[in-house]
Amino acid sequence: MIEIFSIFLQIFIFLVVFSFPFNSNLLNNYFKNYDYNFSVIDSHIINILFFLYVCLFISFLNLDIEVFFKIYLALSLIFLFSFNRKIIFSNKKILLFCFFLLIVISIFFFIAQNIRLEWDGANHWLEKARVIYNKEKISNLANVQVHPHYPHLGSYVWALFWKNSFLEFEYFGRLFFVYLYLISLFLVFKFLNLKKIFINILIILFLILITFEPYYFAGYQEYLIFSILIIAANYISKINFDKKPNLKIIIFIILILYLMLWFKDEGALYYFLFSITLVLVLNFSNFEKFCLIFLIIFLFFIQYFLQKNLIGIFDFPQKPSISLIIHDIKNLDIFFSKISKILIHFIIAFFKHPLWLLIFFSIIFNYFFNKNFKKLEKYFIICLFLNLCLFGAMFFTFRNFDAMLQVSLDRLLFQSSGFYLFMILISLLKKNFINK
Amino acid sequence: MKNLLKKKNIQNCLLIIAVSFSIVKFFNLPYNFYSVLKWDYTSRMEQNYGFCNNEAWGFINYVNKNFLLKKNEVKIINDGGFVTLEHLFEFGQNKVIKPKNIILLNFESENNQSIESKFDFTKDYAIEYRFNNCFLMKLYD
Repeated sequence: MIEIFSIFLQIFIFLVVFSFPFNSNLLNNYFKNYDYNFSVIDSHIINILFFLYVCLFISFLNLDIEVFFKIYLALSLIFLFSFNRKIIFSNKKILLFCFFLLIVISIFFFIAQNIRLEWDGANHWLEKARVIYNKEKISNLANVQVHPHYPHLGSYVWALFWKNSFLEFEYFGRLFFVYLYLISLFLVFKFLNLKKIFINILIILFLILITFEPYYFAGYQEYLIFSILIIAANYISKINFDKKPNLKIIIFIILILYLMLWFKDEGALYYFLFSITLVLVLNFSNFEKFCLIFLIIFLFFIQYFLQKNLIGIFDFPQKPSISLIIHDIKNLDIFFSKISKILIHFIIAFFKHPLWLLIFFSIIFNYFFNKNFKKLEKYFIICLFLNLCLFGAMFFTFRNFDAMLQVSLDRLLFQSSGFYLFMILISLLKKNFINK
Repeated sequence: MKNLLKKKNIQNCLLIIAVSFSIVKFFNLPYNFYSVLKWDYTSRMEQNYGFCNNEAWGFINYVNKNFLLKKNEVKIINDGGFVTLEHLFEFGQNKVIKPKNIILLNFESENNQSIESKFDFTKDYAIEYRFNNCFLMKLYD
């Protein structure tokens, strides 16, 4: 019974902690020129992103995670009772919130029952979380035995909610991953903004049905990247690509994408790919584009310096050598064998994660029935093409090529699929399959 | 009109109930709720990881509680190829070549093959506790 109480308490804590410090009024005032109305769900998501940045900052200060969390929780409670009392919810939103709660409760209990950690969770990420849980210095992360160079933010948040949960059970830390995943999917409701709430709910349920993968909640960080990409894609899809965009919102999107660098190594690839492409396709002057690309690279170097100097390690797992690359390309047997294996695993992964099939279907459908792609869709298609080319770069994996393909490619494809989710929704809205 | 409104309300209520039931069924909420209520954390961990099979969380937990194992003095070997769970306990990854304790899980042998013949380094260890194919071994003084 105590455990059931603590699961409900955890939901309450998430709701309270992520109500601080921004509310929708504040955000609408700040981003005045952006053609977008920030609602409660936006403020909740932006508060989560803010919380992640605070966690990142605090992690380098070696501050006690219990003290930090208590202060943050106290501030959130004060904020909630002081500034958020005037929010009035419509019946539609209350119903949606009830469904959100029901799904959160269902998945939280699902995790509580299916408690096990899978290989990477137990072997890679838990060790980092344990260092933080034990309140050791951040520099001790460099001493972990498996992949010490992996970024630590996902493990930090895991350890933070693990340590500060009522019963201090490990899985409470992972409930945050579920919460972020669900709240990011509920952004779809805001994006579609349909009159018929049940169509909204059914679309969200359908998306959960095809993206819910319990294996990835067993300690993997895939859902963190998946969710961050959904959030970023939502704000990107609201930009008017024909007009000169608001600089604040572009920096805001870059900062959302930047969080991925702190979750996983491949987050850096997505960060560069999606943010630089965005800057290049937008209506900015060359000087503004140069400044923004400089900012993107500068932020990467901040990560490099922080990891190198405060943790003591910065590295990437694969270091392809030119001679090996030339050898594999020259040798036709190896070349075709590798290419065919990559293609087969691509196809397997697309069927394993059917969201990809829907993405391709929506592109093909748009191409044949609409012909003219809008700039936003062109941006997503460019990203998709570059994204798949990047995964094709698995050709240059030399250590355990087959094993890497079997265990990595489907995860890579899954985590990046969130970014293209909005292409499906845009197609649905375009052809009036669902009436506004 | 009133009738129509009422009819619409009933339709909406039925839809809410149908969707709610679908969610609850999809995630198996009633069983999961019952399971959390009926079995405590330790029992569920044993159900998920096994006592002396798979990752054998149950065995590790048992010897940890009864033999008061200390941090950095334990090395876990899982002969079944499953991931080892030292970080769910406070053992830490042991970098010492000869730790004070070895927990050997899912030991697989042919005929009468001994542990020493398969794992040469265990010849300096005595079996402290055994449950099926799971062993707690202690370094000789």
